[in-house]
Amino acid sequence: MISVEKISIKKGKTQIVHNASFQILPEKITVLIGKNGAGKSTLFEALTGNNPLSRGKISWDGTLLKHLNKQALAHRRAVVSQSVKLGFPIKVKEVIEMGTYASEEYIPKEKINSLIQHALSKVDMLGFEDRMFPSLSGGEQKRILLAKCIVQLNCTHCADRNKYLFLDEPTASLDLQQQFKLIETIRYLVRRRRIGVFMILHDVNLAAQVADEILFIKDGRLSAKGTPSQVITKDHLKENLDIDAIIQNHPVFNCPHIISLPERHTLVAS
Amino acid sequence: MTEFKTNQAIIIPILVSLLVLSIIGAIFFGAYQLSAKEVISAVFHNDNSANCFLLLQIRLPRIVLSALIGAGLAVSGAAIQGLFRNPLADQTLIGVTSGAMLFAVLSIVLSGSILAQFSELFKQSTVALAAFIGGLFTTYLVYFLSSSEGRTRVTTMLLAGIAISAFAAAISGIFIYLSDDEQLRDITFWSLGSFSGANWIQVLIVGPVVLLGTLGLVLHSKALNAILLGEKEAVYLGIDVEKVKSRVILLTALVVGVCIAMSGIIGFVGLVIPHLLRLIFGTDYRLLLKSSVLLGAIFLIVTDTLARTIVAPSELPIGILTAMIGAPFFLWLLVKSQHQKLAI
Repeated sequence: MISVEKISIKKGKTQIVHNASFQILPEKITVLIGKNGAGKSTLFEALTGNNPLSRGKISWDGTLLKHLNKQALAHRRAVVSQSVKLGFPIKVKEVIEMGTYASEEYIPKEKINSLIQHALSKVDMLGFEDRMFPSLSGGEQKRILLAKCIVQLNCTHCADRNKYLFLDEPTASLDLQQQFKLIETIRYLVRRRRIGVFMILHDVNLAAQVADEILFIKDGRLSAKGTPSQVITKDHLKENLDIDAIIQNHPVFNCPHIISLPERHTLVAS
Repeated sequence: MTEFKTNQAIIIPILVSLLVLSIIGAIFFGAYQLSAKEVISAVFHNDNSANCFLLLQIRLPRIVLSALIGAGLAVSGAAIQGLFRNPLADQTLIGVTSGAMLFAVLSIVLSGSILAQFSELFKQSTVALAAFIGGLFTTYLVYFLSSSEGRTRVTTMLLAGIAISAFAAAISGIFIYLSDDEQLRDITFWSLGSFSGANWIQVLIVGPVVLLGTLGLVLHSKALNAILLGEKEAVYLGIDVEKVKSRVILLTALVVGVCIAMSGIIGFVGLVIPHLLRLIFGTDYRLLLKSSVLLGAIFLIVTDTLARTIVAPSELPIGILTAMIGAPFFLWLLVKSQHQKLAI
């Protein structure tokens, strides 16, 4: 379990995150939702070990994050960034192979190849291994970055420790079909590989379908947390996202489903 | 990079063979051409003849020194390009060259007065030592200025490197202005680079630094690969990017500093060799750094052989030849990278 206790984060002199406390559980999916500039990415980077805290503490399965070196952290978590800009163009399989760098053990060539093929199949990108990474679309690049993380999680051994996957707006540039496939892959990792997932999403409906717990963040403060049914309410949506919405029950997934309305919807309706 | 092992199994033996061939060629060719019989006789009979002296005391140390310096400059150029994530970066960006130049100029000019009573060998050693210290000092200054709160920003480093290099060049300019004709000639020749005074002592000084420095850089191959994705991504993969930066910069400054100290400024090797290899074999630093070592050595052995052959019995400063070959190639690269949007 990742335990976050009363953390505050500053960027320069500006306080971005205030006194946040929550937990990320293994084998569960936690989703962070908030408006642009609410402090999502700052919090995300602090959790992944890239942002120092000004107050509070984060512990991973009982060990303080600041006591884990970069390698130890890479054994416990993989991160799918929003996007990556390469210094020099390289092939897709070269990007995915970098997932093995987190491992301290020697991995034979055949094993690396099979890890790459397995990861490519999980992100539905088999046959793309020899393409140049920059020639792929934004959505395809994101799936390759996820494949790299799958390799990282599969090749590092961390006895008696949980592993986590962090994703920063993973569905941002994916088409609808690929969004569903990504969610399927994440569910596979949670159920079969027992990985804990923390992700930032803008799509409230997707969050409702996939999340075990949702955190709302507003102006750097966690304003609501709970299961989708607990927190996806008209009041929370208005307070945290500044939107009016009609909330229904999803006919298939049996979770809240929102129809967001423009600010002056009453005028539009009339 | 699963192709890495296959590529390595082919490329490294080819480059090693070319290195052996270039060494053999360099042994035979020069202002005085040696025949195979003369070489064999000099090597196996060690008869104190003129040929034996020429081969073992003049030509061979020169070949070994040029190989070491070519290897050192090329591998550190490749590492700096990786660290800056920029194909057009080279060692000059971290200030090592301009610092070495400034201190070398200072020691040449001051040797006219303060060191006048000392021997020529002592003066030359002073210039080399000053260049080495100057290179390390400016690199430290550039690194120090671009670091805060335990992080070094490579973009700031790039700008600081340009500013400090310009400042060092200005001070060099003042001392060049104050120098007499003989000093001016010494400075010009030093800045054009040469292996003409190569001896085994220089090889013994350069050898360990270049070999250990190269080994240190090669050990950072995976980290440089990860940095291709960006510093943040490299951290996610378990790389301590700040440590990698400081180590690569220190190793580069040591290697380039000692190379420049012994041979003067030899441009374009650190820029062109890694780039040529990257264009042909791709950007896997595990292969790129090793192959840069070999091709850098081959390149300087061949150009130095040309430098001492084409205007024999005189010889050209090697910096002229490397720039004459390197500059047009660099321009071609620049145009090509613009077209292919390879530059960042």
